Amino acid sequence: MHIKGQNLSKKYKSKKVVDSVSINLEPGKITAILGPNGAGKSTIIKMLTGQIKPSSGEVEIDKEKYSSFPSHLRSKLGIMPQEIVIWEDLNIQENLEYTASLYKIPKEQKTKTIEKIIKDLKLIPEIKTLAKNLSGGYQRRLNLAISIVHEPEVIFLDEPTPGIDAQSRILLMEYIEKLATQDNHSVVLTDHYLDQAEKISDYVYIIDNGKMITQGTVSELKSKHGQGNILQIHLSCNTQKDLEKYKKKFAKEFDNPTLHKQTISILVDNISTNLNKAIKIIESNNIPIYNLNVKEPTLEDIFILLTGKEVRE
Amino acid sequence: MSTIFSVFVFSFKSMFRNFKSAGIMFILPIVFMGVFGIAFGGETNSLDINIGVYEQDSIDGLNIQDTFKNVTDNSERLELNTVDYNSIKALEEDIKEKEIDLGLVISSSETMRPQFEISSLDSNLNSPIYKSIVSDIVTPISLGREAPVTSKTISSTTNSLTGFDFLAPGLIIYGLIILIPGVAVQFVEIEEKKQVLRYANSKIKGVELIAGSVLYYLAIGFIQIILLYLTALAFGYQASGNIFIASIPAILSLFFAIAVGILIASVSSKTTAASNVGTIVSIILGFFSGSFISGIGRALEFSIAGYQLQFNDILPTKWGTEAVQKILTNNRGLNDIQSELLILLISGVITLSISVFIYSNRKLKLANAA
Ligand SMILES: Nc1ncnc2c1ncn2[C@@H]1O[C@H](COP(=O)(O)OP(=O)(O)OP(=O)(O)O)[C@@H](O)[C@H]1O
Ligand SMILES: [Mg+2]
Repeated sequence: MHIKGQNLSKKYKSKKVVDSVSINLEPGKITAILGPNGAGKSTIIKMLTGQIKPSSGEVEIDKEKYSSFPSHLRSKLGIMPQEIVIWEDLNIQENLEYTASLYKIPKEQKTKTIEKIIKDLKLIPEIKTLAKNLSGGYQRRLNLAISIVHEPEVIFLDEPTPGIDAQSRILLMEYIEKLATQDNHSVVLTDHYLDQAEKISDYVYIIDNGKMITQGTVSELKSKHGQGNILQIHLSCNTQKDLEKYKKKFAKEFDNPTLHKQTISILVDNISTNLNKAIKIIESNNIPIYNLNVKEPTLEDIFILLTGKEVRE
Repeated sequence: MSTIFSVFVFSFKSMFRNFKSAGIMFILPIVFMGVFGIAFGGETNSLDINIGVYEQDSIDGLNIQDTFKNVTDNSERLELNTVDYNSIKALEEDIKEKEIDLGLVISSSETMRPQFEISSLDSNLNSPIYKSIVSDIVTPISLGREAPVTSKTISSTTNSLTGFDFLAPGLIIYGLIILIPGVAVQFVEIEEKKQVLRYANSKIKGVELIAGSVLYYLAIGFIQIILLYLTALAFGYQASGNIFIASIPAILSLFFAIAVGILIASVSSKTTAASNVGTIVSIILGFFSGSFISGIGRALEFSIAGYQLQFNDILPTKWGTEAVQKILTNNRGLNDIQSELLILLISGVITLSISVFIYSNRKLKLANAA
């Protein structure tokens, strides 16, 4: 199933929370919709899946146009909401079985799929624990598990990994990647941790204040907005006056150095000449540093470059 | 079908795993049954009723004084004393003066059957109970079922009946009415916990979801009926009828109660609101259906176009109470409650259809999870 949203807008009262956003969900690919809190990510997902009607714009499914997602195709979607919606009084096994029965999945297929999901999402240790007693990480895993028992063609994951430990997060991310690559599902995910999503996403939309700021594959975005590398100088002084003073020294030689906490970041094209230049500035001005490194710009760096603000302030 | 069954099993599991809160709906009616059993049943409570009798027409073979005497002789806790009157005026005078509790005027119908008119003082709180006891004795006579009255036929049905024997059926119905807040809460939770997202995205139909839950409540209701029946027996309820036959009108009353619960859910957006409204509704409904005061409706009579009506005639659960009473307390058969069954069936089907329609259209919408 190939889903496209065209010029989707959503107004609440007079406030436009999504403003003419177009999104193309390539089959078999992982698409990320990224942006800060309140950007409109969940609203876009809800419009694409028929949970809310767009104020204007269209949803196109396999070249057919609809004013909102048609309900008869809904069981082909897997929707993992941002909130945890699980059957609290059932254990993990029962959660999966009950949800499967809601989708009227034949018994054999049901047993097979459930076994696979349990194995892939490593749910075995807590299989008999009531959902309401599960830890946050397991609840998230279960929230995902019951969203996909019916083997949907397109999977929507609204912030799959907030507030969970690194181990669970990695597990979920790897699993999401596997869903798209091995099982050939289309996956759409949202996140306000841009760096987390960029590792697994094939195509990225960055949203801010309901508007699309940029889109493309991660490498396209980097070559378009963040050509080169980021040179980071970590200062070991901490008065604001000193920090600003040292930043000015770099500003004489480089374009737009940014200061965040104790780190000065500079976007550079040629690493070796610029690294030398930076070291000279440090030596000649006796600037106290504790670390210096070069890294590829991340999507969060690009977000800062495009909007002049941090994703999470 | 298997989807409906899944919802049914799901509801049962949820109930057992929340037994601390779910248990209240079982325990409360049982406690009520016990309290009423102690208060209105047993040896300590002897009911003394002074009945003034005025025979407007004399009827062959009818000696109502003997009938009441027989009941008294065969009963340990009920004393029905009669005083004869020569005029209605004198009879009504004495009711007002509280010389007597009830007045019974006997006249003859065109078919020569006896007709009875029971009158009492409206300020007397016990009047409804007195009336219900006397009317239970005289109604069969007027219908010709047990006339001419002999001491044997009467004594077999009314042997030592207590106030509790008239209340127990209403308390059984109350055990079903009290499920209303639970029904309302369960259906609001579907929206409040955003479960509607899971349901609306899957293939289950609204009617299947509701059918599974209704089935669950019918099962719970049946367990409730049996538990309350056994409790009533333990506290001295002298049931002479068959509980399984009595379950038929009781279960039909439950359909109406479930419909009321779903209706409350349709207009509540929070479980706390649904729970509060459901509790209030169930108490009021129980009260007017005769769950706590036997024959409450007789205190609320009015007449339209010559028809004698009671306010609570519009409540299906009132008919449920009466039907259960007829079967269990008075040992009548299904034949005698045909009209009650019809009323219960029709009102149950209509209210349930309406509430399912409103609930599906208002609440089972994906937009409610957005
Ligand atoms: N039902 C609603 N009524 C009014 N405003 C709404 C409604 N739903 C969302 N909004 C507003 O729309 C904006 C976008 O909300 P949305 O939930 O789509 O953001 P988001 O990108 O998913 O944020 P987060 O990362 O916090 O989940 C917010 O400012 C929110 O307050
Ligand atoms: Mg969101």
